[in-house]
Amino acid sequence: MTQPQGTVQLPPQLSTIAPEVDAMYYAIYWISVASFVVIVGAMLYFSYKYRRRPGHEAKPAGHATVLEITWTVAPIFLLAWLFHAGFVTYMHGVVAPDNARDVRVRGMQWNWEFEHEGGVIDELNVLKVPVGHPVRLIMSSSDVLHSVFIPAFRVKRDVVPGMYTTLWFEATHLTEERTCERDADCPEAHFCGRADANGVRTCALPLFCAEYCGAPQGIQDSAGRNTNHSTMLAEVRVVSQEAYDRFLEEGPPAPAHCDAAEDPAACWGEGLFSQNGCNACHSVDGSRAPGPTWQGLWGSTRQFADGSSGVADENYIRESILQPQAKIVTGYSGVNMPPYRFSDRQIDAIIAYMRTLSE
Amino acid sequence: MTVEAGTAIPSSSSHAEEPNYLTHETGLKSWLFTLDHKRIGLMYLVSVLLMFFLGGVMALLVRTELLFAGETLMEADTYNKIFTLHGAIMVFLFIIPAIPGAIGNFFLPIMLGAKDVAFPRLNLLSFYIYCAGTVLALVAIVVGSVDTGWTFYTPYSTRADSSVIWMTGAAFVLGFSSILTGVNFISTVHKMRAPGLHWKRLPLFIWGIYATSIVQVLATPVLAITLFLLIMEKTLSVGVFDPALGGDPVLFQHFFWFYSHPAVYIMILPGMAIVNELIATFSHRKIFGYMFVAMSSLGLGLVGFLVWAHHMFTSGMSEYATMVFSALTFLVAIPSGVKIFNWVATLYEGSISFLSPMLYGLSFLVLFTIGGVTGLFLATLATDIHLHDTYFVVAHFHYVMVGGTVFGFVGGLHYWWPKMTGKMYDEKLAKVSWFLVFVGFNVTFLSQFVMGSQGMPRRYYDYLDQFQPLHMASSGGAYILGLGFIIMSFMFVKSLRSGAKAPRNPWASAGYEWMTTTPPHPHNFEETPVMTRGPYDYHLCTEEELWDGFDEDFQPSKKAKA
Amino acid sequence: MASDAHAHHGPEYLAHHFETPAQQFDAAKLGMWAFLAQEILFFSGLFIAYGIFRTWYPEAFSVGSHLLDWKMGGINTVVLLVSSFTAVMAVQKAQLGDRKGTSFFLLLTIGFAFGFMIVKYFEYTHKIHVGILPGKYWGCPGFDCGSAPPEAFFQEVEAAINAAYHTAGPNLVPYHIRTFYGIYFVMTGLHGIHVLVGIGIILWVWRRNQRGEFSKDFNTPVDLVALYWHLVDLIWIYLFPLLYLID
Ligand code: HEA
Ligand code: HEA
Ligand code: HEC
Ligand code: CUA
Ligand SMILES: [Cu+2]
Repeated sequence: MTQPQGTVQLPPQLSTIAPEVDAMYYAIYWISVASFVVIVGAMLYFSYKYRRRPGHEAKPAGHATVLEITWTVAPIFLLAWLFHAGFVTYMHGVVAPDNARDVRVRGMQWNWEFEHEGGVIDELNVLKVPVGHPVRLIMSSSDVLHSVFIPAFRVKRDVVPGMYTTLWFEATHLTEERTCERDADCPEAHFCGRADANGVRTCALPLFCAEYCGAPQGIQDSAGRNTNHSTMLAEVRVVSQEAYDRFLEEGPPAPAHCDAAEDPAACWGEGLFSQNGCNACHSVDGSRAPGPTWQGLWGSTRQFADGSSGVADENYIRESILQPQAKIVTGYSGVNMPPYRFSDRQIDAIIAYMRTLSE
Repeated sequence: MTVEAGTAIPSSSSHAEEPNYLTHETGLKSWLFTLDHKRIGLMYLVSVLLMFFLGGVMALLVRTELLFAGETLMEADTYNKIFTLHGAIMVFLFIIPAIPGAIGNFFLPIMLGAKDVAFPRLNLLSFYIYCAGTVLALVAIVVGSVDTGWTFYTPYSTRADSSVIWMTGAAFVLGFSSILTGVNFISTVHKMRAPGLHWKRLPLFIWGIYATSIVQVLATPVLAITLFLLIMEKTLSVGVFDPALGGDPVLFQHFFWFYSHPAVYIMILPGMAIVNELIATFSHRKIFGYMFVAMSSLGLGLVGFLVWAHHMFTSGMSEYATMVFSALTFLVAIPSGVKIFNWVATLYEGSISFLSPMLYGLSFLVLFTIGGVTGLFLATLATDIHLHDTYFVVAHFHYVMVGGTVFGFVGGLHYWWPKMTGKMYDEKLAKVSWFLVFVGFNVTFLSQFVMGSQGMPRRYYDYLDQFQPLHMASSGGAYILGLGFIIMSFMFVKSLRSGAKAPRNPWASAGYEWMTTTPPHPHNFEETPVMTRGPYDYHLCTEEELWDGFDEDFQPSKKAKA
Repeated sequence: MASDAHAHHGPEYLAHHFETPAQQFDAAKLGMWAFLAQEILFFSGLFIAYGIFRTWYPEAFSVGSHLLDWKMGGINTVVLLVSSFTAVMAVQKAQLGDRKGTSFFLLLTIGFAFGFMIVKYFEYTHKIHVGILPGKYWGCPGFDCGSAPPEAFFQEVEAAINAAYHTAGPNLVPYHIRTFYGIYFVMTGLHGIHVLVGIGIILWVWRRNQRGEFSKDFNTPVDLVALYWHLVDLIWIYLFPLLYLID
């Protein structure tokens, strides 16, 4: 599929709504150009023709009520049409089709988190969407205002704490999964995404934060960059529908740097353990923490608050992660572990890691 | 004991001993405690120019930081403070008080044939409240500075540090300065007109300032209460705007724009008011469709109250609200169009001279049209979704605020400079600086339209490589613009130090303010004038009224008459 | 000199820039009305916030209003109404040229204004003491969130809830009662500031009256201060039912 080209004024049209929006844009543009040419043309012409010079005097201004009414009323029709057309197009962009696939978006200073159907959470700041299928973003913020803005799709919507806002689009073209060094290596309207653990960068579409959300004072991220409103930037990757379905089933793939590890699954699990904040409540060295330590957890017999007991096997661990309240370990009724959503492969990876702690 | 307009002209031969408002009293105290609207106007002028330069320096820092992607001069949080200060200073300390406070104060009573504004003491109080607000703003800069953007959106602003309280406090206080000026002008226009000056003869400058005053009185208190609630939110945590306490952040936006959209008409109406005078004087013709132009000012002021939520199309309001506000927004294009068309029609069959004030007047037509029609892209729902919070919006509002108001203000400054100071300025330098400002301005902000529609968000410290060339062009334009302003400052300073003495009516204008001596008498007119003709009735002016006592060097058109 | 011609062109009280006393009076009156329009818009923001939150969270507003003592509010309403009347009397006396009468009624007005503030003082101190406070200070006696609210707090809140829900059973405290008290304190606080400012300027007018600046012909300041005072009164007339009465 060849990438469409943008124009001097607008980036390429990569969603179904984009051509409609651009048609409006150009309609206003040409109306404006025409008005401008008429007004400024007349101004320049009169300025020249009636320039002050000997033998010429100004004529006193008369009345021209008909003229006045004409140029008061005539624009009204034009403006009424503009409003109407703009509103109709806007409504197309507001009402999501019924079959849209939902993605939950959480904005936080200064990152985006995307959660797909079935609770699959991709890496921070990466949004995968299927090509040729409507996608609806259901957005919320945990701190201040943010705004999702994808120029190539011509969509934007504020992300407001304390309420949900939605937005939908249907991407029409795949993004090229091409590796890159600089933005210039990527097709038009793409940029060169963040480096993964191996330092490899891939082209993607930018998703900007368009509502001002500040900057920390003197704090820098791991890449040595100052994270702030202007770097609250996510990568949009438009993938084929099959690839998207596969992604939903398997969850995000193991990070590339684990390929070389002795036990790739455990390596991935360890990453998940710290990335998802499990380490806030679980220790791996037997020390006390709000939750039971993971040291020696795998395969041991658990005593539950309701008096029953069971062995920590695959099914039990799975349940403990997805529905922590189903069985409460004795002595830990005080703290509520929140339920987490992982793909099966991710849970397997966590278990693989957990096993290493019982060896 | 009154004299008719046509005969009230002081004869040029006796000008040597005329008392004037600059010299009839001296000493610092005579300025600080003056009740003379002309002196208060000058004090405003000096203050707002200082603020313009301060805001301009911030703008150049912004442009320099954006010259290259990544860090150029400063860190991200510093950048955020700088653009916030730039916006807040330019809006609250410069553009809102500039024309009404400086030029309006000086010329409104003169054009009415009055001796002063209705409440001279209140007028001085407004000025000192303005100063107090400025001090608060400076405190805000010193105690840590604000980085919320000039819009103070919650909940970011409720979480930010306490300097936000100082800055919103400053805006709160400045609001009262603006309100009191409005109250004063409304009374003055209604009750202080000279005999013979009925509403249909009112100079269009006054119509514009009058409409502005109404908006100031009716809109500013809403900003005041909004900022007050914000301050309460930060100190008492009243829970109206902060979602963490059950408040609604979108409500803040409604409140804020309920003021700040009408405020854009507080900014543009005085600019338009000045342009009326420029175009009439330099075409020697009454403004075409006088009454329509006058009424369109009131129309803009009133319709301006109904459109505020067009700043919030993406904020998550209901679709119904977006529809209503988009429709209403288009209505404001009508009175603006009426003005533009009538101004162009005034040129028709005029006698047009291209002295520097007129160059600004004509530039206003060009630039405001661009700024205005790009407003239509933003009023249209479908396109605003894409363009909101991008540089397209930044370019739009600089075209209307700088290309419109600042060009009008600077044009008015050139136009009335001789009357205010009694000195002429160097017309050649004025033209050079006009050229640089005009070109620099367009380079700066045309490139921003393009990067905006390409998707460059605003309030960005860092950007993608694809925007690099356009940002560089924009910064380059800003430097040209800055150079233009430096030359202009030089020109005005030179005029003060060694300018030729200004004649009574250097532009051969029929306007009332040119009937009095230069610089004006402490009481504006020696005797209360009686207006026997309108301020644009060139065909009713005597030869002496228009062309008396003026220096041919400044007015080549004198020869044209002969 | 030309300026001398303007120095003495009418009665003492006629400022130099006016032609006639009538013009001076009309200008002042129009200015005052414009200022009052401004005041109304200033408060309108709060009334709108009130309206919006009331429609969103009626139960919080119901409980909130039951927590307020309508008797105190009622007394204050009467006090302010009477003070408006005494202000009118001061104007009338001034127009008749009765200096003593003017002073008397001005002082009386000030007296009522103080009465109003005293009642408000008791209301405020009680609320602060038990911790009926806005936003995050809800349940924090004396703005000190470290200490637990006194028994009175729970009793009053429970009584208000039961009255609001018309049941005696255990009911929930609506979360947004915090916002109600935010709005209550801001509205009555700003109104209170207006009363204090009013006291100040009535005092000033009183002093000018004592000095003999006013007469049958010139009493604009008395007229204007009364206008201002009516507005302060009028705002309370709206605040009282909105905050104290309707549930
Ligand atoms: C002087 C100040 C000024 C003026 C006069 C205007 C004038 C207008 N503005 Fe602008 N505006 C601002 C200052 C101003 N604006 C500012 C500061 C912001 C951003 C604030 C922020 O977020 O920080 C803003 C933002 C802004 C937005 C929000 C954008 C967004 O954030 O998404 C919108 C949306 O509708 C808008 C619309 C308009 C319109 C329709 C006009 C109209 O009044 C224009 C009318 C004029 C014309 C149309 C031209 C002349 C008419 C003709 C020649 C007639 C014939 C032509 C036709 C019929 C096509 N403006
Ligand atoms: C009246 C209002 C006004 C004026 C006149 C200007 C004038 C200018 N503005 Fe301003 N601007 C705003 C109001 C205004 N702006 C507002 C409200 C915002 C939004 C803020 C926000 O988002 O919160 C904004 C934001 C804004 C941005 C966007 C920042 C961002 O979103 O990240 C930019 C970027 O280019 C910019 C640039 C400029 C430039 C180059 C000028 C130039 O026109 C300036 C020209 C003037 C000078 C250059 C001064 C000349 C002085 C010297 C050269 C110094 C010499 C000194 C001596 C001789 C003593 N402005
Ligand atoms: C807020 C604290 C908290 C966080 C964060 C947390 N947990 Fe827990 N976890 C607990 C507590 C408390 C228990 C014991 C009570 C229970 O069984 O529900 C528990 C129990 C478990 C158990 C069963 C252990 C046993 O002793 O039988 C597993 C498995 C588990 N958590 C996995 C995870 C994973 C994986 C994550 C991160 C993705 C995680 N937890 C994050 C608090 C937490
Ligand atoms: Cu998040 Cu800007
Ligand atoms: Cu607006």
